[in-house]
Amino acid sequence: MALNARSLVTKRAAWTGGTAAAPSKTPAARRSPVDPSSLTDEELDGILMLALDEAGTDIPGLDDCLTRNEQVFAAPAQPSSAQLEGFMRVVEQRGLVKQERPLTWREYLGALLPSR
Amino acid sequence: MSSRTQELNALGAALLPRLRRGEEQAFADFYTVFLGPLTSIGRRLLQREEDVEDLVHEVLVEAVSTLDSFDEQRGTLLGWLVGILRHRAIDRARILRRRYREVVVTRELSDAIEQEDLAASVQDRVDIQELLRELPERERDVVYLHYFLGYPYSDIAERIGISPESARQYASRARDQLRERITEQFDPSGC
Repeated sequence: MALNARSLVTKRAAWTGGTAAAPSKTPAARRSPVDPSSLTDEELDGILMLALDEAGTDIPGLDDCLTRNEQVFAAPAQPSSAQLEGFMRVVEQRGLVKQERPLTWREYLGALLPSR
Repeated sequence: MSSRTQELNALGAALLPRLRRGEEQAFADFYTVFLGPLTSIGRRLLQREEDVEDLVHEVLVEAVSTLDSFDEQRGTLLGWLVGILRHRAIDRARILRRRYREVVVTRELSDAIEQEDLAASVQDRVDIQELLRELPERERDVVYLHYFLGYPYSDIAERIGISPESARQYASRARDQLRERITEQFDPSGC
């Protein structure tokens, strides 16, 4: 379920790849009033984090930040064949493949020549 | 300018038309290129390796399934993927909190979920994106690395070459500005 129902009805929902979900359990009418003078650092932390989440990828300067801090992409993970097969299976099931991989010369000739 | 990010952005830009044409090999290339970078970030957000693997797989499947919603005029493919990852990590963290008694998500994510009602109330009144846009570059980097990508201040300090205390101060200044913005928008009665 998405974190905040409002994000599902704004233009950002499509941008983040958000999917339809049940309404938030905390509609605006039931929210507690905010007293800015009593906001703790922890509460402000939470507000910032969730604001960033709701913004999806429409976050000002995120690309620049990622560029300046490329170390965040450090893990040199390579997919296992099982992982890649699982992904490709889903891709095929969803009908996303419109053009199959061109045959190599070896495969092409193999298909033409009668098997012995 | 960083070569790794440039490389990922260039690969993403080259893959995009091939993915849109539905080239089979493009999907395999896409998975191979972005699995590592997203796994790196996923490990900052969720603690269990199996949860990270599931999360990254889910994000890559979601991305290719909703590629029509990606607009390259608004950002890079990499940035879009990171945004989806962060969004889905919070969704997953909420599910995991219900499933397990022990803490299996980072403390920061857990705190954020605790503050959900308050955050929603504030966001009704305060344009936090505008605030982020106005933050100086260094403060914004600290905010994004800590609050968005889950890096502890000590790691951020090491990465950008400042002391951990300075990293905390940058975040503190951002919080102060948020507090000021909230104070401006809410009247004393909280209505």
